Amino acid sequence: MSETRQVRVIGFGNTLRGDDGLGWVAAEALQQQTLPGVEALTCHQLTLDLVEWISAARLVILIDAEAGDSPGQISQREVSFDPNAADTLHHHQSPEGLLAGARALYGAAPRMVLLTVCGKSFEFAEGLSPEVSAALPDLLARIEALIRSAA
Amino acid sequence: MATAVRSRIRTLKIDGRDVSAREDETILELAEENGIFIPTLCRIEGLSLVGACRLCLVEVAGMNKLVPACLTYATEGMEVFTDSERLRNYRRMILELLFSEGNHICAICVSNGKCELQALAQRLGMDHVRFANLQQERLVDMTHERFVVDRNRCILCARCVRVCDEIEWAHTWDIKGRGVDARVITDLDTPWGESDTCTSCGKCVRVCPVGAIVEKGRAVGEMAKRHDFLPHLAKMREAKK
Amino acid sequence: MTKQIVIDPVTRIEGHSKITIQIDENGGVTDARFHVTQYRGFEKFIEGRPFYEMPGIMGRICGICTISHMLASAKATDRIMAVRVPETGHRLRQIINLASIIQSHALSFFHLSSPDFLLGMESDPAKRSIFGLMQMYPEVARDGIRLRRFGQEIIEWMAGKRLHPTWIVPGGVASPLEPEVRDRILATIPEIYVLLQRNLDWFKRKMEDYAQEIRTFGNFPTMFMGTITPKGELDLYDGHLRIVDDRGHMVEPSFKAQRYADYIGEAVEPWTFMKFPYYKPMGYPDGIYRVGPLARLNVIDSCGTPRADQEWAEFRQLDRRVVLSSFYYHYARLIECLYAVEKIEMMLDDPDILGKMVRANAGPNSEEGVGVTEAPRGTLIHHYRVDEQGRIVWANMIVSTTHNNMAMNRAVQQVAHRYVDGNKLTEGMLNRVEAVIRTFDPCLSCSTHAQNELPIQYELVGPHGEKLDEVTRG
Repeated sequence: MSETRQVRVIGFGNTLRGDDGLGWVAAEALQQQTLPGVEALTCHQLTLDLVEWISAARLVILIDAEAGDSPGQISQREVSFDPNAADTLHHHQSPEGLLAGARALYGAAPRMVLLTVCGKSFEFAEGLSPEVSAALPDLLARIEALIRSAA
Repeated sequence: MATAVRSRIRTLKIDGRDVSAREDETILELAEENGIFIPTLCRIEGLSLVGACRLCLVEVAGMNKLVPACLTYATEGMEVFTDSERLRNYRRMILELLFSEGNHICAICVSNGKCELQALAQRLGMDHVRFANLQQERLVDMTHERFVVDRNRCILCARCVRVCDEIEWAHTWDIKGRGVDARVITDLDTPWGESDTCTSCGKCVRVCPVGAIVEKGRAVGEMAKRHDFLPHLAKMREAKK
Repeated sequence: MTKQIVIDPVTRIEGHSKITIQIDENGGVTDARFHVTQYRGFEKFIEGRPFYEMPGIMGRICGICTISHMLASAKATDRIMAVRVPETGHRLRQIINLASIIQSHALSFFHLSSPDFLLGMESDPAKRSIFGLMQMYPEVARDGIRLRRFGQEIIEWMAGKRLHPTWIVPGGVASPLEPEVRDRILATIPEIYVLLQRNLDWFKRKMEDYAQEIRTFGNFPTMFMGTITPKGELDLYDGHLRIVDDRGHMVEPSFKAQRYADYIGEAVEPWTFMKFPYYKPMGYPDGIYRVGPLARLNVIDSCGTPRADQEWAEFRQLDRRVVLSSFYYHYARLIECLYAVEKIEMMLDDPDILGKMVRANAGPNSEEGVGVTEAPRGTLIHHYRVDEQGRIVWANMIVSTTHNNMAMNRAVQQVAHRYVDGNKLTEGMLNRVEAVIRTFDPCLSCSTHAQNELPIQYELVGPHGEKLDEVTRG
């Protein structure tokens, strides 16, 4: 049953801020591939509206860029359940907040993985820096490996 | 069938690739034949060449200045470079200057998503305008019954001037003034709706690459344009001459 | 010897604003003001543009009530073209308007305000949000998400895009309704009725706990204005305007929305960018009135749909004549959602909704056009004048929130007087000052993101600028 392989991917960030658009580029690449049981979307921030969407998944993959000293470096982190993670004062959420929401509202406990790539520039610009672009194939390979693991 | 014109063949290099060209072929045509992208805005198949937009500037080995690919003919042994950091910078800057001169707010434009300037800005990575907008007061002329010219969105490519003169043979359009004061005008700068020469054929609307000359009453993104009629009409005109 | 409390920014509303509270030497509140600190300028920069571009430009005023602005603008351009929108186009506009009101009310009621009622005004601010709600009242949070999605999906399915669609055009809408979209919407409606009833039930019970807030949250006599059908029923898109006074007597039983300028004046104060509309015959500031859900339910003779009318009958029992407390805006929002769902269902059930004629075309045939509609927050007025070619030469807008400006300021004063002790700041005190603003659900524009990154600071400043007390969140 391909239903059981339900994977939802969220690429988030700001495409007008250079490498912050990484999540979009990666998620759009996945959309092109139309893998069975895999849905990908792009957004600027993690918002409450996403909680319902991710609750149907077994595996949720979040893709983001982060600031740091080694541009292009990929990090992977399992997002763990924390009932008190919700960020209350901001419009947007942390990955933990989304996961807490999925549990509290829909009784869902998908595995959630956050993949981040260290960005080089977050100045006003469209498009990725060469370092981050170069990391894309690796990033996509990691995502695909995660998807396979959910099968 | 084949035309009797027999032109000599030139061999040259574009971006390191060996290519051959007819002597009456421009670098732009040659590049397109060989699948090499050179941006343009004013050039359109079927109309004369003016070299107005400067986006097709290329580098030629041995020459200090940049040359417009649309007006430069292939010569033997020439070495052309269509893509370099310098060219990319210039092209982006040209686009930025165009954006800073007029009012190009895509999100609310009738041509949004269907505009050659917008498409080119996206393709060439013009994500910002470094120059302050000139904030010019340019008139929108809505006197024509069916069409409207919004000079705030005009990039002075002169396609309207050429199509009206060369294909329609009406010569309603012209350009008045110089530099930042240049404007497209109808007749002797009289309202379009009062024009004696305009035949209301709509060719200027079809060739305008942006949302400057458009049909009236269109909402955001509704102004789709097609100019595939042009090469055919141009040929017919040529035959008549 | 006075002190001043500044709440900047006001949270969980749409837009940028601050509240200042003046304190005398004994810690008593002497004055309080609601300042809007942002400026937009749309009325100016559209001059010279073709009239038919207005819906597309004006929709950009706001990302939350885009649809409302596009509709008021399109209605003004209909007038400039002097056309009658084809019946199907007219109804499609009504449906998208109702969907927009539902998604906006859902955001206001569930995401922004329900934490105040359910978790309590005094609760820990770090928990007092929709996320705090998720843990304590997951069903309510889930319903809020669901209801908002219901409204947004109708917009997306009909207009092709959730944010800033371009489907609403002068003379009607850009394309007819697909039968498949109609069926999809109709299929979700039964679930939404159940959802709304469930939430109406708990909210009505909960209101009993808030007797004190109800007494003091913007509870004062004003007039009310809203749109009605010829039969005096609730209308959220088109119709005449009615003004009633604080006893429910007709002040203006019915006047043409196009003649708004004969009835409404606008005053300006130097300390805020928001104007102060007032009922002209009574002058400023006596001509104070309120608009929005509470006002609309106060001016009508009935809603005109069975489920909403049943709720409305209960609503009208809340007060002796008209319902004066702004706290009841929240209740009115839920009733309007019910009405909107019923109305959408009725219109979609009529096969004519699939008609192909949805847009009238014309050039400028009138020098002036006024478009008035009911936005989620109240009556929205767009007014344009054009030259003989159809270029905008002048524009005026009265945005829903603006009508409530005087009332919001008075409400802040009322709550500050009741709850704020200038000698010592507490969370519950300050939250109530913000919460009273939230009852009006003001939309000061849509750009809250950057602002919300800043910590929120409350300061109590002494007569010489010295900081007497401070609370920081975020």
